Amino acid sequence: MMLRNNSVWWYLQRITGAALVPLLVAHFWVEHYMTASIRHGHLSYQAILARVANPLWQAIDISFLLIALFHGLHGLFGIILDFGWIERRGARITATILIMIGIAWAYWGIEAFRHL
Amino acid sequence: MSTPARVVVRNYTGQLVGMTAWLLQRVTGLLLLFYLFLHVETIHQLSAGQAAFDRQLAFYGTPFFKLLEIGLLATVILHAFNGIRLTVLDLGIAHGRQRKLFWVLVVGAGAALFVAGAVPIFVFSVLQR
Amino acid sequence: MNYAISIQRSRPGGSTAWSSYALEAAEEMTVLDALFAIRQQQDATLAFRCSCRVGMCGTCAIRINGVASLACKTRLSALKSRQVTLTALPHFPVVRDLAVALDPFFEQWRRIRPRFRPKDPEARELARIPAGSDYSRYTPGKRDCITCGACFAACSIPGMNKRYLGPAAINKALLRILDPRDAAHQERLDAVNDLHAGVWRCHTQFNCGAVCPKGINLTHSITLLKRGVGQNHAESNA
Repeated sequence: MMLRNNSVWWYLQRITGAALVPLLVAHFWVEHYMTASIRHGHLSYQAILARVANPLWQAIDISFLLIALFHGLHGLFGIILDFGWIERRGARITATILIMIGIAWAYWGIEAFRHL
Repeated sequence: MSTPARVVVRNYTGQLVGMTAWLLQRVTGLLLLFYLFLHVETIHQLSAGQAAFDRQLAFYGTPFFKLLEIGLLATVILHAFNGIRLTVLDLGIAHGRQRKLFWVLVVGAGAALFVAGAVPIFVFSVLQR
Repeated sequence: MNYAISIQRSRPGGSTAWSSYALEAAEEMTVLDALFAIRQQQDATLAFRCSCRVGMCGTCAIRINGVASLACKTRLSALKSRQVTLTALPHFPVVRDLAVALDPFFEQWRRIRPRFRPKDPEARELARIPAGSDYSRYTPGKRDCITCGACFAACSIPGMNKRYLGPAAINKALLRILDPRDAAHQERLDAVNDLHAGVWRCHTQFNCGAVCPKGINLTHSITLLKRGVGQNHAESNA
């Protein structure tokens, strides 16, 4: 499934990177400044649960996770390619493995919300 | 033995900014990937019930952990700001000023944001213990 | 001016050692002048390469105080210290002392098919390159490569990945891809688009442009290709 021009992946790494910045700021703000005062130093189970039970926040958090997973695992792929350890076929196998790790990780993350 | 380190540093100083930024991006990226794993694991603890989760939270409130959090803040800032720098450069902008961009954006603005974020954590959590 | 010059020596067998020389240098002496002086007055066994001595041929590229540079263009007085360390270019097999074999560089060079392939070999009229075309817009300042290998030595990636084309080869490919008179754009585009060897392995370290003796902004050349400059040229060949 390799696209003829590999630039799509290069653009996606930058686009996901750019998207992660506001997502991270929003996530941090919501977690630490909306849900708990910094003076109190820490969050509480109730506070987190209340926010996480809301499907809107779940959707945002899951999007955050998926985008971060793409960015992180694709970055890891780049590092592996840089070292020149793998041949052409090896690249396809490695990509498949990383995709499977990503899917498993995403499932594991989404599942965290389902038990609430 | 290759060129003595002190000689390289003295003569190469300034030239290695781009390469150092690349190395930093890699290292911080891997650290953040590892952190993401820990973070998802933490959220899973919510399903363990209030008592267990509150114990976790208490651990995250300890000074040692707060110092780790400050480290995390530095890691995120380095990776994000250098990422912005790289994206700007990838658009073909400011190629002649890539080193300046590093010092001003990544180190300068990054340090400012770091202090703004780390000081409250340090003062209200670590010092208050 | 007194200089202390340390040179990493090596034999074809592979053993290395350091030799140190004290040199009384005139103000305008270059590193290459110093090498000649050492060879003539102190140590006739010292091996190094040179040819034109005026920065045109690229033969004398070595590592001066850790930085890949042309020995003939680097004045001793421009160096920041009186202690000068000379080593062979990294990422190349050392033949002896400061002389390296440039095979890794030229293997990559050949992979982008650098030879110009005219669209119309029978043409009788002069080709016109319109102002405002990609070639006239992007290639000025990029055509002076003397294949010295300094960029290949300075970039981290060739040290990690034997398949990487390197900045010089990619820059040359760009020149061919943008050339409206050339007929083989797609071949070069395919070469630089390779996931293991091409532009995607560049991570904007900028070491290459920093050491290029011709001042070519190689990172910019690579970035242009990443951003798709020249993609539409392949269709014009069809």
